[in-house]
Amino acid sequence: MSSFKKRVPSAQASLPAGCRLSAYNGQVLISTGVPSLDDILGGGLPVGTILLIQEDRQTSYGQLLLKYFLRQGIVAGDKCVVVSGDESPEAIVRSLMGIAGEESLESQVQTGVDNRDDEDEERRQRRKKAAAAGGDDEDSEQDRLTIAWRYSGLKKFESGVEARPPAISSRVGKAGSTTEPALTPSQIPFCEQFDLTTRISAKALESADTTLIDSGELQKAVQASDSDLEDDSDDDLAPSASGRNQPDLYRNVLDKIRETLIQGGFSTTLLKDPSAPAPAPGAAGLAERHICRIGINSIASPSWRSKTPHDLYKFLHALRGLLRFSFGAAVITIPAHLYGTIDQRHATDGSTTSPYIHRLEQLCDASVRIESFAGAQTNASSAASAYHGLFHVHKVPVLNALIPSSTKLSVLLDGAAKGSGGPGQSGSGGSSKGVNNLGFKVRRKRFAIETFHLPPEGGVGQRRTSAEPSSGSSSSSLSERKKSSSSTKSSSNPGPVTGSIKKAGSSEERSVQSRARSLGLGNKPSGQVDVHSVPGASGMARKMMGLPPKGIQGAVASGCNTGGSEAGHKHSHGGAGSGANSSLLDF
Amino acid sequence: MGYASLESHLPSSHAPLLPPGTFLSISDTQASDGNFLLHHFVSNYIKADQNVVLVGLAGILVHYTMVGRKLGVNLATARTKGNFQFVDGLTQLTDYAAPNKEYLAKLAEPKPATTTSTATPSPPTTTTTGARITRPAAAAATPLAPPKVLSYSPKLVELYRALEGIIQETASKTKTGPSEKQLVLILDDLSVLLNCGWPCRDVLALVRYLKLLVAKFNGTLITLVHADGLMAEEVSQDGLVKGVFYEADYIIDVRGLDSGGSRDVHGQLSLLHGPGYLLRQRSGQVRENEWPALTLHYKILDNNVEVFAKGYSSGVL
Repeated sequence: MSSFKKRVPSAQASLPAGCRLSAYNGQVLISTGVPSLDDILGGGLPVGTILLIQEDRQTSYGQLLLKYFLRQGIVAGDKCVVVSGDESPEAIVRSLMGIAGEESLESQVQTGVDNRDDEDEERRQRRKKAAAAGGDDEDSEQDRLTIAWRYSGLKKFESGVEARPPAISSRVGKAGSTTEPALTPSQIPFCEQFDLTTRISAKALESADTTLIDSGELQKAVQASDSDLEDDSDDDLAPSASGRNQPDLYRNVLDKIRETLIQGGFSTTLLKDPSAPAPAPGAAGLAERHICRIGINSIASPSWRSKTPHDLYKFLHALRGLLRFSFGAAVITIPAHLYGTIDQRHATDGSTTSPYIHRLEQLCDASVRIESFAGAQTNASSAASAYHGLFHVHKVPVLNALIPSSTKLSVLLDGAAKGSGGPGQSGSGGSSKGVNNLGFKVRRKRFAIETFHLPPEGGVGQRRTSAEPSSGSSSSSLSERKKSSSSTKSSSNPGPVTGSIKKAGSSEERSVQSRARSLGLGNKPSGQVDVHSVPGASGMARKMMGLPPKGIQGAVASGCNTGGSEAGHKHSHGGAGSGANSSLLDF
Repeated sequence: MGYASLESHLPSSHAPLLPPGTFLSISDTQASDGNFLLHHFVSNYIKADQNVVLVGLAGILVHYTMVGRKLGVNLATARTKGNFQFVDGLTQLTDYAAPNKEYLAKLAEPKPATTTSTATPSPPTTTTTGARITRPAAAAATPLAPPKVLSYSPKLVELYRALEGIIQETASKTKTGPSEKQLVLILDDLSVLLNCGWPCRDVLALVRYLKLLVAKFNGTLITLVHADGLMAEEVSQDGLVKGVFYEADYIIDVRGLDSGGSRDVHGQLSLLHGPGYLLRQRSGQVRENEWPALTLHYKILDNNVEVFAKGYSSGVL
C-alpha cells in the first residue's frame, strides 16, 4: 500500500505521525499493523473509534492482532496503553514482533528476497518450472493466457491484500550503518511490515512510549481496599480510604486510561491544565500531535471480576465518550466464546452468538471475530490447510457518513471491484454479509486475511489430465500432497474430507468429494473415482475444478453448480459406471 | 427534503413532518442500522424551520453535522437560530464517566466553558480552547453555547427533568408569531439506557413521560431501539422493544434481508401501525390510508437513501 500522498503538499505534514486521511471521507486513519485488516476497515482504523476482536478458542490470534496494533504504534511513535489481566502487560510488550528486514541490513535486502514469505517464494518457483516446461497453465504469470484467453480482459480477482514492501529505503541507504536515522513524521510508513519470527529490538522498546496497566494488580488493590471496608456497608459514611471511590475494576481501568489521555494531552476537551494557553489551532498544531493507542487484552475474561453485568457496557460507553473527543483509538480483544451457550456456539449464520457480546458490539465501531481451525470439530482444516481459520467481519466503522468507507474502498469486502454486477453476484451492502468468506493465514513472517476458498483438488501444480499409475493413491495421499504444497504447519487430520464445511466458498469441490465418498465405490476401494457423465455440468465448473473440458477422454466426473448446500448430492450417472474407463481424478 | 423516495410513504397529513402528538418508534438490527432514518427526520424538520431536540446517547454532534451536510442541512446555523438543540448523552451519562472525586481534587479549578473556541472538537480538525473538566466545550461557532450534557444520576427521572427543561427552553426561545412551531424530540438509541443498567421499567416510563411532554409542545417523539432477533432471548431487551412498540403510533422496523446480504438492497424497512394509530383511527383523527402498512426495500447511497418496493431495485430493473 503506497503511502497516501495528498495533492496539497502542506496538508501532508499536518497529520500526526503514522496517520493518513481516508480516501472516502477524509477521516484520520491509523493502521492496525495488518494491511488486510486495514483494508477491511476501509483504509485503516479511524481515530476515535473502538475495534472489538472476538478471540478464538485454543489459539491466540486475537492477541496477535493486538500486538500488531501496538507494534505499529511504537513504529509511529504513538503512545501505547496496554491493559491486560491474564498476561502481564510487560510480557506482551516484550514479545512484540520486530520489523521485517531490520536484522539483515547488510545482506541482500535490496533484492527483497529474504522478506518474501515462503509461499510467495514457492509460487515463484512453481511458475518458473511451469514456464520452463512450456506449460500452458492459466495460472502462469504470462500476460497472454493461452487457454482462458477470454478472461484476460477481466479484472484479476484479488483474494488478498498485498503486503507493502518494507520501507527500508530510508534505513538501508547508508550501507552498514547500524543506527536508524530519525524519521520525520512524513517518512513514517502508514503500515510497516513486520516479521513474526523476530522480537522487538531493545532500542525500540526503550524509545517506546508505553503505559502498562495490569488489571490483575488493580483488582488486588481494589479487593484489598474493599475488604477493609467490608464492615461498612453504609453508603453515606464519609470515605477515608481511596478505595471507597473506586469500587470496581472496570472503573479503575477507565480512570487510568482517562488519566493517561489527559496527561498526554490526547484529549481535545479534557485538558490537563485548563489555565495553560491552548495549542495553536489550525493544521500546524496537528503535526505535533500524537496518537494514543489503547490495547486491551482479553477484557471480560474470568479474571476480570465485575460488580454488575452492566459494567463492561458502561466501560465501553464511557470509553467511546472519551475517545470520540481525543486523538486515540482502541483495540479490545474479548474471549467471546466464553459467553454463549452450547447451542449458540454452533450457529451457522456467522453472526455473534451471544446476546451479551452483541450488546457490546453495538457500542464498538468495528467488530471482527476470529475462528481458528485448531481443534475444530469439523474436518474443515484438512481441506483448507492453507488457512488457519476463518475471519468474520460483523461491523465496520461508519463514522460521519451514511455508509462505511469499506463499501467503496475495500478489496476484501468487494468494495472496489464493481465488475459486471450482474445477477448471481452477491456483493457487500451496508453489512458485509453475503460477501466472500474471509480466512486468515499466519505465515512464518506475517498475518494475512484473504478470501477463503478451497484450493483446487490436487494442488496447483499437480493437476493431471492422465491417469495416475499408482493404484494405491488414496485420499490420504492427496491431503499429504496438499500439505507439502503449502509451507505452513496446519493442524489438519489426514482423514478423508467429509465435506462438512459450513461456509466454504467453492461448492463444487465439496460436492464432488462427498459424492465420491457416498457413491461407495465398489470396484475401486482405493478411492479412485470412475468416470461418469453427468448431465448439466458446465464448462465453467469444470474449469474451476481444474478438470479438462468435457469431451476429453470421455466423460468426466464433474461438479454441479449447486449453491452452498451440504454434501450428499447423488446424480444419475451415465452407463459408464461399470466401465473400466481410466480415471481422470485421483482422490 | 430528506430522502425523496421515503417521503411518499410517510404520513401525508403534515408532510414532510410527522403529525404532532404522535410517537414514531424505529427499531433496527446490527446488520441494518436505522440511523439513516434519524438523519432524514432531522433534515426535514430543519428545512421546514421547525425545532429539533436531538439526544445523542451513542453518537456525537460531529457525526450528525457531517451527515446533515451531505443531506443539505447546516446544523450549525440551525443551532444559532435556536432550531436545533443537541444533547450530549455520551460523555457523562454513566457513573463511569465522572472522574473520581479524589482525582478531581488534584486538578486545577475548573474554568467555565469559554465561548470563544473556533472549532468543533473533532480530532481531525482543531483543538478547542480551555474547557471545564466536566463539561466538554463543543462550540461550533463563536456565539454558541456548548451542547447540554446529560450527567449521571441514578434515577432516570433526573434525565427526564433535564430534557423537560431543554424542551421548554427551546420552545420558548423560538416562539415567533401566532403559530407554534412543531417540535421533534429524537432519542438516538434507547438501548443504551437499558444496557447501562437502568431497569426496563424505568426506561419505558421515561418514554411514556416524554411522549406526553412532547405532545404538550406540539411535537412528536422519535426513538431508536435495537431489536435484533438474537436479543429477544433476554427478557429486559425483549421487554423494552415490545414496550416501546406498545406505546408507539407509528413503527418503522428496519432489518436485513432474510436471504442474506446483497449489494443492491441493503435491507428492508416495514412501516407498521402501532396501537396508538389504531386508537386514533377509531377516534377519527387520522384519515383512511394515511399511513399504509408496507414493507419496502432500501439501499443506502452516499448522500441519499433509495426506498423502493420489493423487487424493484435498480439492480434488477
